[in-house]
Amino acid sequence: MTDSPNLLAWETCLGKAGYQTVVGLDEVGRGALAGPIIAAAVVLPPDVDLTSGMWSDICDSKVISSARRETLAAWIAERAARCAVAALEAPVIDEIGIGPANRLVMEMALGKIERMCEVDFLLLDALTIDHAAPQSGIIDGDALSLSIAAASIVAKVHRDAIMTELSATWKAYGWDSNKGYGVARHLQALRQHGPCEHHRFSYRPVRDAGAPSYA
Amino acid sequence: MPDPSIRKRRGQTGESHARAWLEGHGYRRVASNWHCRSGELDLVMIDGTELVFVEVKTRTGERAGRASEAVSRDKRRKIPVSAEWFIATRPACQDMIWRCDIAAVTINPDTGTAHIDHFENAVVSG
Repeated sequence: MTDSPNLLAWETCLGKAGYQTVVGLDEVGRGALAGPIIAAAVVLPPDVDLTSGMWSDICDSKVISSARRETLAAWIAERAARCAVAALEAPVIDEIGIGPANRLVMEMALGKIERMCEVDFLLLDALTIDHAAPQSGIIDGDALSLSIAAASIVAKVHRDAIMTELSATWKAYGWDSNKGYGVARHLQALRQHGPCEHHRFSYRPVRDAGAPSYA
Repeated sequence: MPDPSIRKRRGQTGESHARAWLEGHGYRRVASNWHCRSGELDLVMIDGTELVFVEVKTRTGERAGRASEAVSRDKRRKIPVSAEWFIATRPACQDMIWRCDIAAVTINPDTGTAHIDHFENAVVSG
């Protein structure tokens, strides 16, 4: 893999091929044991200059500090031509399964964009969805496409905020720091207190922790 | 720096210990030493209905430090990406819940016996 891929390679190519509105989509929270999955859809403004503003700072959201990510998310939301976010809660994930939930939440975010404008092409991270528009699922897409990277940052900041908010009510699990992922402290709290209504019971560590503690 | 061939052999020994241990705990093997452009997946296992990508870290004795601490930040980023490549090649795996674990194998240099620490969800992609 090259060290510094051109983050606009896909967008530039698609633009030349006549696709005007390219939507970058990404989802976060698939691997978490608790909380919603969140998808974001971002349409970059025309004439993005990778050397100006904060565009050059947007690379894979997983390698950016959370404080920096919040600044970037606000910046993206302000400058993007279109930006939308959608969420699916844990009980829905349990009901339909993580794979379909993953695609559905992306379709929901995309649906919000479609209410604002016509959509010509979709860039997604690793998967494709049920949609009439042509699309590419790019593996490691949030490190390779600016549209996906921007969506990834918006989605992650949105989800982190939700998990921090939930942790004020469900204090035992440390969601303000682990965001619902299965780190040691979360697993230990699960064993000690049992799961709550925001846990995904289709995930084994949650099932193993026994019956829900709320009623 | 140990001879690369020795390191490789030790890695293979560790992987077979880890695999045997996991199979003893009900996991089933799907693939091992699976390569893609993002790197290598040591073990791919099925735990019930969940797909588990296991990074195996092998150390000899305690002196070299705990094996679980030896997974670099770069590797932590690459494992989930390799997992996505793996899933992309297996449509049957597309809708599965998946996670990345670490199996830390510490081999006693005197007896050759292995101690295994299994860390579930040790590499978190979000």
